[in-house]
Amino acid sequence: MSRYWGRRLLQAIPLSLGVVVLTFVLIHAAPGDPVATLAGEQSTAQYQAQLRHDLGLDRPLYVQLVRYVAAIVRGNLGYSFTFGQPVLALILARTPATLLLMATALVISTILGVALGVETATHARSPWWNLASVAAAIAYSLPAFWVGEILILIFAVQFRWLPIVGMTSLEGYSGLAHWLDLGRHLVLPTLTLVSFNLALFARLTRASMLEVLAQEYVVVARAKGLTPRNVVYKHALRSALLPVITIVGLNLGTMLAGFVLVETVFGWPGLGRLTFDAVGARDYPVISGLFLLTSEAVIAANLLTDLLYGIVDPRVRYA
Amino acid sequence: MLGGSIVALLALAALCAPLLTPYDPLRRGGLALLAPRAGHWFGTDDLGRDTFTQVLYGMRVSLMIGVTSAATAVVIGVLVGACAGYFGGAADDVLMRLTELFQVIPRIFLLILMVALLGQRLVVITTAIGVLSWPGTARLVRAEFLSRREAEYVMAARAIGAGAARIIFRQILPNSLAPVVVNGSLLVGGAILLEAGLAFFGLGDQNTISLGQMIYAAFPLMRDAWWASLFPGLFLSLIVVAFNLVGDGLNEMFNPRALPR
Repeated sequence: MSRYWGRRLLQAIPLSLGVVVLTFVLIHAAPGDPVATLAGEQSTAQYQAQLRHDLGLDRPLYVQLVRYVAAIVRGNLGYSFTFGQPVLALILARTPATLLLMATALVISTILGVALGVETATHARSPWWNLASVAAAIAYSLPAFWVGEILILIFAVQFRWLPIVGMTSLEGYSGLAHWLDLGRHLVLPTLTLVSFNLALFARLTRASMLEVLAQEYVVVARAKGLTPRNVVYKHALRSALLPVITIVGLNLGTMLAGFVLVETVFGWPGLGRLTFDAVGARDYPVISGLFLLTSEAVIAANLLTDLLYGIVDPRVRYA
Repeated sequence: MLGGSIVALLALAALCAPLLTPYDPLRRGGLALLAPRAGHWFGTDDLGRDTFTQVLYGMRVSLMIGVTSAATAVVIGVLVGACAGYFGGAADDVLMRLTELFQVIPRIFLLILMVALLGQRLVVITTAIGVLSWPGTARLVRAEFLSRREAEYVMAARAIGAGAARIIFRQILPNSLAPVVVNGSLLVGGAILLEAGLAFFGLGDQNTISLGQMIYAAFPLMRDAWWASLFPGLFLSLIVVAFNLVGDGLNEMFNPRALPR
């Protein structure tokens, strides 16, 4: 078992390094000379050469790469000129807001999505559930930010039931009122995110469930006289969920894209909003820092899901 | 199939755009911010351009981006998957690590970086999306190749002296195309959504109209002109839904196990 874990960990390391190298390459692929930009138009060639030497930009590329990696390991991701803060501090400050939104949306989508997937798979001949499948297919295709805009239009602008943007109101509540206010602001962004993710989970679970239900051991379980609910939820679901976990892990990148766009539409002060602002200001240190951190986070999440998979399905460990 | 007919209809509409509307999509000068009415079915935007016309032309661009990126992704994916699946061993390991790397990275961030750094032109956007979407196809093709590698017809081809390339392209690949086609159709939808996302960040190609860019432009107008964001988004969704339905339909056709019993 530990051999499996060790192997997966070892595989994750070159992946992480690969991401770092990729970021480095992209930063250096940008057209334009940063030294010329920094030094200004009036500078002499001598000053530029001096600046280049001071910044270490005259060293060979592999030396720069090593220095870059060393800096990252020490937590130095660069400095943001737009926000006036070190990049790492900036990103860490915005993370809790994003985590709140993400956690809420994911928990709801997972529970409802899996349930929907199971039901549409087991009641596949009923027209109502078929309609639900089609609805899921449609919900999966809608661009998240557009859905967000429409929801804002309907609920916040037209009916004025819910706030339009932001995470908290200007009044500055405290205590219970603060949490209620937070909750009110959470509703629309979560709804937007849930619609897409729920559809994704439902589709995946349904596809996986359909394959599992066709297996022989399900027939045996039914023949043994177990209730349909028992067969489905205790026996079939376990096997059906395994590929779902893997695919979700692989799709984390796509889901992140959804989060980023939705945060922007709703003015939620998290990482997505940060991305939008940084892109608008062409603040490359922040953008590449975000890319690096999110990629590493996804790699870590994939590692976790693989390890989880190894615990749940013993066959994988010896492959 | 419902999806197929929708795609056909929309493609037709996009192609016939000049015939369906007397307006020039880029021409300003009309009355700005008109609600939908007789002469302007979808209203006008803040510069007086007719939204219906823009949607029609925008569909062209979005469709083209989607199909081209998906095609690029499929070509790269097939090549990588075929080599990994057929040759196995070290080549397989290296290619799979590469595939994992590209699959795990959140595409939106890499896309933003690439487009912001390399330029906001249509070519760059299309190529970048294609380059970031191939891992799924590669895995599918690799799985197909791994299972077909030891088939008898492959052994026969080897026995008569066929080289690796010939075996790959003329023997195994034609049999493996079914899941690739399904995946390709889903890729088109994904590519179109990615481009729309990019446009939403303001990173679309400024010289062309695409549906994503229309949504981006309509964002600040939301309160006054709901039609400017509703219609492009509606048609964008319609295109993506159509392609996804086509993909689902093809999947059911090729894979009977996925059908409900």
